[in-house]
Amino acid sequence: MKKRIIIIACIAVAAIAAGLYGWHEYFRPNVDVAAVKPAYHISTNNLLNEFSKDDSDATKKYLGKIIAVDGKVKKVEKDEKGYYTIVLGTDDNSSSVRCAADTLHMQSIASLKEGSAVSVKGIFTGYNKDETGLLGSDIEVSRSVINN
Amino acid sequence: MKKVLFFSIALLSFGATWAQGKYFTKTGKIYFNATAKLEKVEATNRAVIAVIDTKTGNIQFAVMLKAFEFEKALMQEHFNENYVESDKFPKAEFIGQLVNNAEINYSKDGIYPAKVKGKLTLHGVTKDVEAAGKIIVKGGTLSLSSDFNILLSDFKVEIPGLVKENISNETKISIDCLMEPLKG
Repeated sequence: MKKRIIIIACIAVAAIAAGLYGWHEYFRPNVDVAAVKPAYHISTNNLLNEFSKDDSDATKKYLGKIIAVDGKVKKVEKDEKGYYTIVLGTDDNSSSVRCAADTLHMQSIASLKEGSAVSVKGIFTGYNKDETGLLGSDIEVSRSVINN
Repeated sequence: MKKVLFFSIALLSFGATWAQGKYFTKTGKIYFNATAKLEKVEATNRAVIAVIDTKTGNIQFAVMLKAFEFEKALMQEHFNENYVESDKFPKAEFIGQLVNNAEINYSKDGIYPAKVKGKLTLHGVTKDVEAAGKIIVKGGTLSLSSDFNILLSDFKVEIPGLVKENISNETKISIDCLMEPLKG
């Protein structure tokens, strides 16, 4: 009798634990990039060079990783919906690192000045090679925050 | 020196004429909805790259799949790992044509219906896709929007039996791109 109670109790505890884990997993929010250490910390120029040398290798290395990129603010763009993108790079290179701002950290990004030095952290999502010769190639970074 | 200057000017003006009539954005929006029942299965991408050549009607989109943002982290992980396999196929692309390009007056503000036909590459599969939408010409910018449906099974995106009830094979895609003139 005692044994049976223990078994039932064990099963109940396991079921509750599994349920709680499932609940937690299901409602788990996206990680706040600001609180995560980057997998790579690199300068804009070195990153652009890596991609212009071999973009498929570089894509494999960085895809989905949180990276911190140091460089000069080429532009801060605000789109029609009010979202910000920090463009890192130099005027003499049409390629850039485009960091789409995380909506939770938009204010600090909006106040960035063109030409200033900055370190931006975000998730590398892909590389768009420019085939028109007019658009410039882009290293795309999402959920970007200022790297402190 | 004079020669260099001449060639530079010639090159620059060539670039400028070539870019004429082209519009682009790097912050286009794509929204998709694959909700089947109660649970919302939807995501937004705010970094769509799009170019349109108003002279030829050629139109091109590039979308990074890892840039789709979901409300739930688990859903985003499943989308990337199990469905679109974004590690293997990081980008989706559309290359096509505005079928009724001749009917759109890009120099006159207005709302024009648009018909687009072309090839969509997703998950390593390329398929012919047709979509209807509209182009709004306003103050020198173009706003392109369209809603269309795709079948996930067309792109070999498999939905496991366990979640078949929750994820719709027919997925609604909405595109919204505000495009500026491209200067050469």
